[in-house]
Amino acid sequence: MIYKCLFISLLVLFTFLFGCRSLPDAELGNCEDFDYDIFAKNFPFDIPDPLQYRYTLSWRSKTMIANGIAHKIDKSGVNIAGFSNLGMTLYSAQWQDNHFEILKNNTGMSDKFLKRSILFDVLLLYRQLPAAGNCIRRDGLDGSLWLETKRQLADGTGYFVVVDGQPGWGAIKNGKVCFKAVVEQQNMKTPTKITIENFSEAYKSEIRLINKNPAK
Amino acid sequence: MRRSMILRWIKRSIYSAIIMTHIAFGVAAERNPVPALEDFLKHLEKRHSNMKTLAARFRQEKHFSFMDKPLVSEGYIIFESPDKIRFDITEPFQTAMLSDGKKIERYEFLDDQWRPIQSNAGKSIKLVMEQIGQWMQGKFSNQKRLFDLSISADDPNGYVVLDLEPRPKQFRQYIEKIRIHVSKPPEYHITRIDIFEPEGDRFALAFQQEILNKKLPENCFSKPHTAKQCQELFSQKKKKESSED
Repeated sequence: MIYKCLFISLLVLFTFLFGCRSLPDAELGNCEDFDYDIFAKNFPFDIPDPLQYRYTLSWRSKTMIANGIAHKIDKSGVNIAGFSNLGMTLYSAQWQDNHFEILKNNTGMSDKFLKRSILFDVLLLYRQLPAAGNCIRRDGLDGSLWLETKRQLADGTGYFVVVDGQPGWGAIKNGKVCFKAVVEQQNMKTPTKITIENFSEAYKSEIRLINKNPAK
Repeated sequence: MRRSMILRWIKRSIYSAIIMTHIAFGVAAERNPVPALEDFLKHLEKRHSNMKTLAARFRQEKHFSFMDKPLVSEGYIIFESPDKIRFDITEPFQTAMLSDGKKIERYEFLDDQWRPIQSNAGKSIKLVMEQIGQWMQGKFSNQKRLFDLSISADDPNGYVVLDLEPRPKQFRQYIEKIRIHVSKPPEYHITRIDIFEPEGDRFALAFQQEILNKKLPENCFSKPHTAKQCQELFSQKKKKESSED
């Protein structure tokens, strides 16, 4: 019993110390009747299909870089894969019926972490905006608008975010920001780069979109 | 009488069959002779033995089983005997892998500058780079420990195709077969490398322009920003060829 209590205390302490980051900008306001159109203007993006990208993951002071491809199978399905500069497949997976099936994982990381990092990061681009009327909150600090969704993101509640007219995504868990992604665009709705911070999994990543289609 | 006719017919049939077989196989052998493996490897190694430096442009194609079309990238490889290699991708993004024979360093060109990549894949990349270096020198005899080697004349354009099938089970999880296309003698150029992975993914590295034994830019294997000078090697050759035309 003592060990059990000790273990739970350590777990709570660990979550408190290394879990989601406590940020002042996590203090979102209550659900209010803000303008939903600001989200509709920013999402979804014009994403080429297939989409070619370069993915950089910084994790535990190491960096992994992969060349990647995402290809829509149908309305709800996406194939995602990546390979090294020397041509070897690093990962390939299929998103279907709201879950990932990993077909190949040569990254050296666990399937779980592969899903929670690279695969979910790429899938962000395919997130569909919820119907109007959902809860919209304003961040008291930077004035960004947060549109709450019923979907999970980085183990928290997923949000579409618009800050200074720039789109992105966020996730809140126990009132703290777990995940933050900001989009850089060349033109409206044409992203060029997404910078991601995942506080739950303790990594940073970057997706650079390559404006080039596969060989004709 | 009837018996002798039957015997004559059988004789004629046998002669015709022999002649036809001879013609068929003779012509085929003349078109695409398949040399003995050991002889071929010796010739290949001998042909590359005087190679001091090599620079080659390449086109990479990555085929995923779920895609109709390959993903294409371009770059160049520079090699100095015995073990210095530079492997750059120039399109659609810019990276450099430099090996001075001791250590390997990787760089990415971002926001107008070369940034080093701290990676935990350094050892495995070094092994692959060393392997490529061995192939560039035509050294395949010493590959028998890792691979089962076989040759065929499957390549419709080239002379011979050398297949390397990994022996260790762990290796076969990642690579099913490596196919090396070698041009006709006396050149014995390695024109293309295909890597077949289990479950249908494939990778091809096709060499397009080869420059042998030319003086390489200084610090080519240690400084990523010498990329421009390295690329000039190919444009110089192009210019020379067009002026000769």
